[in-house]
Amino acid sequence: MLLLHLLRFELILQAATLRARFATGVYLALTCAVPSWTFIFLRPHAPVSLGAASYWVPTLQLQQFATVLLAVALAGNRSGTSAFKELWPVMSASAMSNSGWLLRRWVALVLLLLPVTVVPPVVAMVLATAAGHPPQDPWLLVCTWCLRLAIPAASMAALWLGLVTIAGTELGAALVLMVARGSLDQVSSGLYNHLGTTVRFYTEWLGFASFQRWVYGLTQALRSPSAFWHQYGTAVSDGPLDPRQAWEQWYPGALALLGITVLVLGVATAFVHRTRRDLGPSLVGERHPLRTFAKTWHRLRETYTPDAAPRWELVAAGVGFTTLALCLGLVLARQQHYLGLASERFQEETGQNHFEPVPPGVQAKDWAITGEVLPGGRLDLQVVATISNGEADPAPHLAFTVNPFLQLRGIEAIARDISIQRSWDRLKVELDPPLGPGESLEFRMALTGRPQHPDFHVHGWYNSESFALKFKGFLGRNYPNLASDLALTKPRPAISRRRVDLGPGDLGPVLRYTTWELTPPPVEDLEPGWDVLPESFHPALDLRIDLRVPKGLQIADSCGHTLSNDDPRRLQGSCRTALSTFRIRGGRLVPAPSSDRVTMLTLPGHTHLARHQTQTIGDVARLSVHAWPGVEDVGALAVLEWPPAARFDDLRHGMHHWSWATLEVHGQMVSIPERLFVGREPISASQLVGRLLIQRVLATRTLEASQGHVFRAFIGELMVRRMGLGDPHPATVAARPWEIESLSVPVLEAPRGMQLMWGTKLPALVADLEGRVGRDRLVEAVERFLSNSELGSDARSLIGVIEAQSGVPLTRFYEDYFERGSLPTLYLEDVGVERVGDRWRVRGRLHNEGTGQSVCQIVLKSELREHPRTLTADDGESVGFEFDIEDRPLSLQLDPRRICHRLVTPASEKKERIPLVG
Amino acid sequence: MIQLNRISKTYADGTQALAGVDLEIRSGMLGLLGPNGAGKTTLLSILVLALEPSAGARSYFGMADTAKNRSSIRETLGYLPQEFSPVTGLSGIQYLELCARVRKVPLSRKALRRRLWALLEAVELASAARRPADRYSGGMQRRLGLAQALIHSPRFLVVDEPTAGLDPEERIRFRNLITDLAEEIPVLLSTHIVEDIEATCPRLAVIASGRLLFDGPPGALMQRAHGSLWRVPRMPEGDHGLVYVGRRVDSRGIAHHVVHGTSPPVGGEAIRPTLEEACSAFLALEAEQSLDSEASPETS
Repeated sequence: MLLLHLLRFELILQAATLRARFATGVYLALTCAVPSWTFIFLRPHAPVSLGAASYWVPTLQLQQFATVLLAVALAGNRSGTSAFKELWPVMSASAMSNSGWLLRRWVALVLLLLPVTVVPPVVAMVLATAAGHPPQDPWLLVCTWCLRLAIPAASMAALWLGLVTIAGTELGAALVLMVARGSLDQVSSGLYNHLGTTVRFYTEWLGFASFQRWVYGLTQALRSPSAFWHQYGTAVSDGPLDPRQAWEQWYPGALALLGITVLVLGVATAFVHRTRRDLGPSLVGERHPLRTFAKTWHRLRETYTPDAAPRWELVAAGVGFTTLALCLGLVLARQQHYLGLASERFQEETGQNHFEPVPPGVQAKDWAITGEVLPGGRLDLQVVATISNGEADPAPHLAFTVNPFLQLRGIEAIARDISIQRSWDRLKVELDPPLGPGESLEFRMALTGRPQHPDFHVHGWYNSESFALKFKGFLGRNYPNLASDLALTKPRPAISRRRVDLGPGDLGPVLRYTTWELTPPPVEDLEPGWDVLPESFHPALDLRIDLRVPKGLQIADSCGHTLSNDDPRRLQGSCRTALSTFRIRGGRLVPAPSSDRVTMLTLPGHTHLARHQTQTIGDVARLSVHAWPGVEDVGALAVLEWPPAARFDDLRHGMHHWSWATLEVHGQMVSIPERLFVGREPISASQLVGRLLIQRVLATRTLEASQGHVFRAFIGELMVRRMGLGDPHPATVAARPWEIESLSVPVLEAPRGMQLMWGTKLPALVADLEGRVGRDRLVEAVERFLSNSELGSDARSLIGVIEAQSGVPLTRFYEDYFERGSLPTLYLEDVGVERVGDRWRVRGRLHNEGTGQSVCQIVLKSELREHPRTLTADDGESVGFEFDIEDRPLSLQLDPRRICHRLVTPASEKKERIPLVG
Repeated sequence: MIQLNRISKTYADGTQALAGVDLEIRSGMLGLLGPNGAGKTTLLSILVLALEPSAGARSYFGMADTAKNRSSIRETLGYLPQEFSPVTGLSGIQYLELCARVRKVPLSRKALRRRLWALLEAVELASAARRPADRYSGGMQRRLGLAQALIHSPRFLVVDEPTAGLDPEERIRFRNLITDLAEEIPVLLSTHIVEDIEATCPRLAVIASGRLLFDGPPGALMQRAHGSLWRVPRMPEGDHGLVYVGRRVDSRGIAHHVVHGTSPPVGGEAIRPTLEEACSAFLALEAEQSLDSEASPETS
């Protein structure tokens, strides 16, 4: 009750000051402006369908740090010595202790702050609902509000109230804070020097970095309108948030400083200065040379000495110290936990005693997985498998890959003694007697656990460096500041509230055929790092799956199975597939309108977008047999909307970098990244074909690994055109001025994520090539190339084969576009008509303002017929032409079918068609 | 009963503010007089638990000053500090309500409301109750201060320099208020203004240089000065053992009042002292005696 009265008085007192009114007003105005700006200006023009999170998360990015500032502004208001002088008579006759007073003041402040912090999210949600996107996941709001607003607000109010109480003034508090900040760094270093481990006092959880990113994004977006959507990052995932994951990502960075704030408030209770302590006097002689200084010092000592009779104040300080110790203990325990796991993985990867992989002849014939996904992300599995030995020699052991967080509760083999060895993700099963040639063995395994793929927080020279290299650097570190804080490791559970992603090893052991030795990366990655390569041998087996899931979860597997209508909590089915490529994915998805070939699962708020995507996917599935000679029908597909992995420290991650979003295909299961799914444009058929069908064509041929992406894009585009799903006039490219540079990159040098190359330029080049040699001859040439490994394995060889097959010279084509990145720009100039006797003469020039040799057709249209002519214009060349015709010319048109690759600009487009009448 | 027993206080810089003060407060009003720097505010601070003494003991209505008793002792105390200013931003009644809430006055909402208004009526602030208290005049603020000191029905009231800077009308009004209060609870009035003491206090304590020099009725103090206070028309040159009290204007013109034992100084005539003069004379004599006692070891 008293607390409520104090809250009322806190409200009255804060409202009476200009500072509080101004701070709160600015806070609300700024933070409510963000969702309003999204609603009014961004919503109609955004390249994606904005969900509720797009209103809330950008608001949060600004609001988080603003909340910290507001908490500091209000906590410092009417605090300190001068304010306490006014309050002293109020308290002097009160039975309340100092700690009782200060803690209640803090609670009143927090109770005052929290409703203010609720306003912007409520505004964001109201606007989102008004825009037709009501919030789907209450946890997104609750978790983010709690961890990013409420706790920072409460802790900063405590910290600042405590510091101002101790120091007397806000200036003093700022000085104390600065000194303390430096001291904490020293403490960190000291801990490291003495214990080899340290705790860092991070401030990132207070939102300054997030605020900086928001400001940077906004300024960049406003400065460069072309990159506005990319920079400002309006698209935010509407995928559900897992509170447990959010907490696990949040607390390691926050607890240490949070403990400090509790300690400061606890200690500050002794500095309320209601009963001044009696200090031992220090007599300073009348003639002492430092008498003035000494007396001043003693007065200061008296001023800043804690109060007397600190019974409850000692308790409060004790609680503060205990809380800090608990916080640090939690962080250190987590650090040690992940240090242990990382060391285990490192020793396993870098050690010499790898388990011997299984020879290719030892294969599983059938494999049955039965089990249940339990609430909280635990798996309970039983695996029954039959493994036979097709080798000439007996197999004394089997080697498997299995998620290290899956415990093997039991394993037995019929008529054989077995012993197991396990290390990190490796499992070795010794067989006694060995599995003889031609023999089969039935295994039964029971597993349980919460499969995870920890993202160890270890720094490296490059982000993409392998774990082994990074951890080696970590172990060899010389300075504390190089020490990575393993407490920040993200566990990345395979099953979370956000999404389910059970890959090889997560559903039980998978036979390992490829060596576990560290291997240099493929050349195309161009970045250093050694890693254990994923399994590369994928023998097929008969797989049966029977998995029960909790209510509300939707999953699909790479055989195309989804939860059955009869039992909506059960995934059941069988198929022939490789266990090493088998995958189950899902999450809190809902079935969306689907077609007979496509079962679609989307996020709850996105079902209305499904129709948008189903059309293309259905077409690709239906027309797949026409994509390439010999390609079989892909059958029924399970299609999932795939939200990015949960990163509570950056809720926009994965949606922000939208240009990297690509489709993922695992057998009959297609995962569409959420960013692509909510896009205004449907996903491109070529991307889907590239993922779904290419592998079936390229599987027969070993090609240059560094050019793998070029082959996939090239052949995929050909497939799309064969299926009739491509752009009928794709050879021309239109680009805004700032995009021209990207279109002028050589095909062989373009990075994988370069949308303009793989989505625009390469399709245009394929269309140009098709125009030059003809579609059938082009496909035949590619088929010939793929079926004969003696014809080379790179793109130059492929173009050479097409040239030989078609008889059309293509050397310049390859050099211009694959090696040089040329970009022709063509237009007609100096076009004139004259009457010569009873004939008409049309003259003019075709000018190539850009680069690269262009072979292009011009068509003169006359009253009776069309007169086509093919011209070749090189870099900057202007080629003359002349038509001599009998009937009256009407118009001259450059490449009317648009099968000649070139850049079309607004200026050049006006000079592509010249009317000649009159 | 409030008892201070051998209370001493020496500040950290070595300044001794109090030296073995004994004081007992039972009922009625006790006036505390003393020159600047005498230790009055230190004594009051110690009395209201705002400052820890360096030595000595305090007890309040039978409760010794221990950490355990502190809360209970605080509930018995009402205090109007010398530099009182209400909390900025609150009206008079809001301020009083805040005090009442923090001090956990055990009244229902309605009863508390009635008490607040009654107190405001008593200190004649009812008409200004809803105005911001920080904009009150000095006198109004002191009266509000008195109201806050009484909000929790204390058993002992300490008032520090309540009339300093007030106009005569306000002073009289304030004096009347605390005189009425003193009929119910013991009140300690600390002031420079002897006239206030004279008008209200049946008992007087005089403190100087951290020592309690006198504790008794004002009449006793005046009695002490009787026969040693003289009127001289002009101050004689040289040291004639006179202790200067002050210059006065009376019907015969300007004269000087001095203390000079029991025999008259040259040209001096005995006068009947006022309390102020008696106090000044007392302090002057005490100061002289103190100087003498300090000097005597050297001369001997």
